[in-house]
Amino acid sequence: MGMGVGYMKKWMTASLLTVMALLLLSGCSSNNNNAAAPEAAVQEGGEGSGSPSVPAKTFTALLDNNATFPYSESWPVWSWLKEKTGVTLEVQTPSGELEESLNLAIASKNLPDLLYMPNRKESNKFGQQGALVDIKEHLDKMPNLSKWIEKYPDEAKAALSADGKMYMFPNQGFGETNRLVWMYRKDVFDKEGLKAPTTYEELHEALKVLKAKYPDSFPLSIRYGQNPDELNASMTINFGTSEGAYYNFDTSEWHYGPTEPAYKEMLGMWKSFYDEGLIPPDFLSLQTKQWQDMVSTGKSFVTVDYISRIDFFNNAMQKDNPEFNMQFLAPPAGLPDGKQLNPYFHYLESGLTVASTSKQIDDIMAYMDFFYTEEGRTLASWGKEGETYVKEGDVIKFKPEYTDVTEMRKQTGLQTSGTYTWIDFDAHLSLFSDNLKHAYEEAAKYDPSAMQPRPAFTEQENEVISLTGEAINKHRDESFAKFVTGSRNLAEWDMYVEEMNSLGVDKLIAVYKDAYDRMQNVQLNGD
Amino acid sequence: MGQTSVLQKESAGNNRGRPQLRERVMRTWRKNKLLWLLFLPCLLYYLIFKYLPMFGLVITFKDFNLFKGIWASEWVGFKYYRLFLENPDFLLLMKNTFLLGLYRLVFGFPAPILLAILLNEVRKASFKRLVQTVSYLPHFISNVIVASMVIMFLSPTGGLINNLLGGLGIGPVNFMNEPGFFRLIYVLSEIWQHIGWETIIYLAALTAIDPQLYEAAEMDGASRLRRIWHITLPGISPAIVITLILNIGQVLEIGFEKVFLMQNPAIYETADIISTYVYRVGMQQGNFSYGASIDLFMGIISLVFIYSANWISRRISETSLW
Amino acid sequence: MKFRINLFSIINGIVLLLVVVATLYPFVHMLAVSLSSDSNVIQNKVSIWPKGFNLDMYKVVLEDSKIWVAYKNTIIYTVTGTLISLLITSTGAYALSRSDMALRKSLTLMIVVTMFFSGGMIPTFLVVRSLNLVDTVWGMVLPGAVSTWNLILMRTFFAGIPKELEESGRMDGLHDIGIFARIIVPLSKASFATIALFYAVSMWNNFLGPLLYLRSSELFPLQVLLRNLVLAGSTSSGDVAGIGGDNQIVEESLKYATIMVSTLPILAVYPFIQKYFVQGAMIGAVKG
Repeated sequence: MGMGVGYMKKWMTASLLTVMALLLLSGCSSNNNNAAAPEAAVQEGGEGSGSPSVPAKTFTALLDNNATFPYSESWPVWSWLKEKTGVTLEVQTPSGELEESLNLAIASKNLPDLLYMPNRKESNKFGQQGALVDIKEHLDKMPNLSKWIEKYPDEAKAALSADGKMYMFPNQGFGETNRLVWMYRKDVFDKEGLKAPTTYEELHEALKVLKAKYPDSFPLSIRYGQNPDELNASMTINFGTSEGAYYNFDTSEWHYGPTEPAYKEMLGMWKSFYDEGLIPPDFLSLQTKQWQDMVSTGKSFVTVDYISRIDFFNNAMQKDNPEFNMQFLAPPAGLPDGKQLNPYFHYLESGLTVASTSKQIDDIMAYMDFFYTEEGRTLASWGKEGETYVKEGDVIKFKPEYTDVTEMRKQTGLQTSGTYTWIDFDAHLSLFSDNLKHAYEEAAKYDPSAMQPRPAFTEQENEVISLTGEAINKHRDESFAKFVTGSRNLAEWDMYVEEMNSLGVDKLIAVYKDAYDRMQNVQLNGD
Repeated sequence: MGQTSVLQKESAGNNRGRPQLRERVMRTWRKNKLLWLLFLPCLLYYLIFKYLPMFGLVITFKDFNLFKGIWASEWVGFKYYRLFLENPDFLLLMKNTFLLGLYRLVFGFPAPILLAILLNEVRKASFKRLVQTVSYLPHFISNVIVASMVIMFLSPTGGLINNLLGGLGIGPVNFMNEPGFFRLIYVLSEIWQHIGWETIIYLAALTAIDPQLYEAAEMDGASRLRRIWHITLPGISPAIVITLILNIGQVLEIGFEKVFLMQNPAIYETADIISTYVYRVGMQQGNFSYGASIDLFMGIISLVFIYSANWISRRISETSLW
Repeated sequence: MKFRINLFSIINGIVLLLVVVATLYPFVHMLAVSLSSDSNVIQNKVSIWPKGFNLDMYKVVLEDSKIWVAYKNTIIYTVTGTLISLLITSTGAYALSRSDMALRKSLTLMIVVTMFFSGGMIPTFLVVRSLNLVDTVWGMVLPGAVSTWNLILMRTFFAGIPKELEESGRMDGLHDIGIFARIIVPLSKASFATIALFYAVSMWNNFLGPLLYLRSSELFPLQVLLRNLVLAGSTSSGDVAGIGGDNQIVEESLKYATIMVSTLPILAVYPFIQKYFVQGAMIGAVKG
């Protein structure tokens, strides 16, 4: 021990030296702090190629970059936007994840004028910290957005933050591709004389028949190991409940799904699937690759995944096996006389925000207002008449050289990050295969009556959601696994409900209720 | 301002023992100045890139507001530490993290030493090179792919391992759904991934052994095992002791990514560790302060570990970190 | 006697062969998949031999003109980084290995502490930015120039060099730097080779650094470029809107082709370094 003391002294000397060096260094570094700032405002009036009526302006922007259609400066969409608005965007894209780049940009106080945010949680957080402009304060300069808000109050409300301010430009029409749907091998069902099930009872029967015919198969498989949250949402809404806190429009109350009797019904059903070998025994850890193998090699006939997987499987498999026919399946109802519903995922969480440090806020608002005009919507969805689309009467059509959404985006830059807020989804839809188009049309029939409210939370509320919510979610997931695989008996359901409640389910619901009530009282059009 | 006051205090404190101290300092300086010059780049590196950013640790006592910056953020005291300690899963998470790290230490640490010794016994140079080169390949495969390969190999529906076990009339075993298997699977995958890579250290250490020692031992009729025990192991023991101490310091530092990718709710009981918990909490909101507080807490424990390991090592062997 | 030796060799050979099989298999599998046609891959028909052989995926990866720039960048970062790291690490490690170095223990402790406490990503970024290193080669090379682990390993290797050698150097009139350069460095080929390999590999594989400290895409190294190429398919969970139709499904074969392209060059370094792992090299030098 004595040795230790002498040693600590030396150690103290060393730390003292360190502290001094630090003080010196931090002195230098604060001098350098502003060094990087001027580079933002350089390229003001570059080449004056814009139309003479609108004065040329340049904004800096941090946009997202998608690996499948990487950002390009030469995309025609930029020149079309410039023609209409006179604006040139000087774009930075993240080197990796968008969230990291945003954190770094904000921490270094080196903000571009426009920032693309991956979700509302981020934009609300940074907005409340003071980094972003409250768009509502500028509505007087945005006649088109004001009108638009009257037309789409729900979408506008979803863009509000807990402090009643709006930090992200609202959007509409996008996000359809997020739909999570049931799909099935129609060819196999037809061959075995099975009809498409409409309830879980019928589904159960059909799966049993298939298992008997194809003993090696696991007729139903899902990517639970990779995508548990979305699948939980799908499984629970089939049973008229939810994977977490939800708003019941009939009773105007907030509830917690995983402790409701309907959730127990769902557990019971999945337990029979598991016990009877109708789902893979390792479905909890199933990897995308394994799931893909099972579906494509005829080991699974029913699945739940993103809607575009219909084309993915058909395109890959029909080359070798023309019979292969994956089709949309209406979501089965879990409870007797229950509704057939899919979860509501077709909204877009991401969007553009304006930095509070920007010197050109008014000009930016004028620029963004363009996106809420019919003209802006058509441009963002379809491009330029004659170049990308033709008009046949009232109907707009892409020119025949555009056959595929990804290719269209890659070539034109249309419908890429930062180029739209309000979209005509028909533009997207018109480029899909017939199967997929059919699926989109069908899927819309099984939407919940209204979108679940997505109230914005205060920082304190967010803390409850992340800490209490984490404990609750973990116990929910763990119990789901145990009940379904039988390592816990479903007879212990009441005990489970008690455990969940003691973890703070009430506290969680209260947070949702408070946030929701607060949002109900916010006036959309400012004062 | 702060600088001068520090300096004043220093010189005031020095007054008492001035003559001897100054002389001692000067003597040491004259003797050591070139060594310190050699050390200078390293010192600067640590000060600038490691110690300077540590001002960021302040955020563990603040509600970090990214836009306002670290200094302007609001003080919250020990709030985040309290939240962590009050978490109902705290003990479970600590236990799982510690046990996983301990398993990795107990089984993972000796594996590359063993491989190095076996390689040292290979006489055919080309075969030795082949094994060396091939065994380090898995180190270059990303965790995403390793985790997904492990899960697929162990799958009860057509996984390689279960096919082999089936041939012996066992199974199928649902490995990834049994909490009891997780630590074993994780540690084996770690060994598989890094054994060849970690062997390199010991292969380098082996080059310092005088081959004449082996020749002499052979003439004395010592068996292979005796030669390994009396020549090879002592020859590389400093490297072994130092890596052991460092590894003890790393027991709680378990990479988040691989555990996260390998776990599922059925095995949270053993597979949920601190870093995966932080990830789940952090996903909900970019809570830098909470994550940093937990890191700091774990860092203190790790420091205690490495300090104790070093202390023990200094007592019982000649090798120690400091 | 003879028999026992052979038995040991046989068992040893078998054990090592098993190690080879277990560690080689995944690589061979990835190579085979990267060379196979997609319908064979999606039906899981490929194990260790390509089915429907084609080079399409390699064409996709290599056709991108940016990849050659990225290769060049990676090589520049790896070579510069390794040299700088070796210089700082070896001089620092040598100073710390000398028992007569004052404050040696405190400095070691100060270094070890950084293994457990770090300011975190954002403060480090702010420091790097205030030094104007963002978007430069130095930003890639300096923030990770010293690994504590490597420093301590190297110190251990240096400490193992017989003290008599230093003494004889001093007799010949060499000062501390001379001893390091003329005696220690030439005797430590194996340790330099090892630590160089460790640094080179981590520089080569580094993608966190570029993501934080690089802005212009013409400075991006290989890992970032290729990671972006396969990123779309790897999104496994997260926010609802983050997945779905905007993220294309990346074929297994493309992913593996990418891995091959990005790792084969660095894999090839190790066999060259192995020639320094010769037993008795140091002792030979001492006696000769």
